[in-house]
Amino acid sequence: MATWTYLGFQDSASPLMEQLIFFHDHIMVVLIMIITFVGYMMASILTNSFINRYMLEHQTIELIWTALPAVILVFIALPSLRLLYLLDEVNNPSVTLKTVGHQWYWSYEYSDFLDAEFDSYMTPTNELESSGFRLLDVDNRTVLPMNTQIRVVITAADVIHSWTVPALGVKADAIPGRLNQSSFMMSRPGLFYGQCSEICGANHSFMPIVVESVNTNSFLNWISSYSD
Amino acid sequence: MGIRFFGRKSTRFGVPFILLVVGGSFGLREFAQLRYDFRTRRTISKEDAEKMGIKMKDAQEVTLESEYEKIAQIDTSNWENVRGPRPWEEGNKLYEEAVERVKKMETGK
Repeated sequence: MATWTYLGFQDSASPLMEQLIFFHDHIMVVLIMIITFVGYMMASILTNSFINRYMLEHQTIELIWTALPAVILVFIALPSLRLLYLLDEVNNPSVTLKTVGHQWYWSYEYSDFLDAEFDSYMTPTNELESSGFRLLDVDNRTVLPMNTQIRVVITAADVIHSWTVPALGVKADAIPGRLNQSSFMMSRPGLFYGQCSEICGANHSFMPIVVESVNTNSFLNWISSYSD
Repeated sequence: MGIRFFGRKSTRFGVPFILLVVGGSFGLREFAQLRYDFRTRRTISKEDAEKMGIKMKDAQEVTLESEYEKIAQIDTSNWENVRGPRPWEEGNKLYEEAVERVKKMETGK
C-alpha cells in the first residue's frame, strides 16, 4: 500500500507488474545516461576555451550522432513491444470476479460460485481501529486465491468509476452499460490496496479496494461460507 | 559430394552452423512448450470445489458475453446527484474541526 509522500511504484505482487517495473527501471537507466551525457557536454562546452580552427564537415561524427539515437531507440523499443504483447496474452482464468462500481462503494460477485456476492464500503475514520489504514480499509475484503489466473470484469451502476490495484498492475474503468475485462495473477499472499480512479462525485476519494490474497484452500473455505 | 564442396571454408563453417540453428530450434521447442502447457493449467477446478462441498459453475458457462447480459439489466439512469456541503456550509465536519483548531491556537496564544 502507499504511505504518505510515496513516489515510486508499490512492490509488485504480480508477474506482469514485476515486468512493468523492470521495464521502467531499464528505460530510466537509458534516460539518465542520455541526460548525463548531454548535460556534461553542455557544461563542458560552456566552461572550456578550446577553439577548433579547422572544423569542416566532419562526416564521421555526423554519422555517429545520427545512427546512435536510432540504436538507442531499438534498445528501448524491443523490451517495450515484448511487454506490450505479454500484457495481452490469452490465458485460462480459473476464477472470475465481477466488480460493479456504485456511488460510493464497490460490489463484488464471484461469478463461478453460486450466490457469492457482497458490498465493500470504506471503514469510516471514527470507527477505524488504531491499527487500521485511514481511507483504505474496507468492511468486506475481496478474497482471491494466489497463484491462480483471475479474470476481473468491471462495470458500474451509475457513473464512471475505475477499479485499480497498483501492486497488481491492474486498472480499468468501470463504465455503466459496458463490461471491461482485465486479468492478473497474484504471486504472494497479502493485502493489496487501491482507490477509485475516476471522479465519481462527492465521495470519490472514499471508496477504496482491498484484495486479500490467500492460498487456494483458505479461499475455498471462505467461499463456502457464502454458498451455504 | 566431394572434396571440392566439403573442402571449402564456407561449407565447413556454414553447414554445421545452419544445422545448429535449425536443429536447435526444434530442440528448443521442448523447452518453449512449457510456457503453453503452464498456461492451460486451471488451479481451481470444479472437482476441487466439489470435494469441499462447494458448487461451481462450468468454465464455459461464465464468459464475458454471459456476464455482459447480466450487467446490461442494471438500471444506470436513476442516480441522484448528491452535492456535498461546501467548506463554509453547515454539515462539513472537516471544516468545523479546522475552525476549532484555529480558535484553540488563537486562545492558546
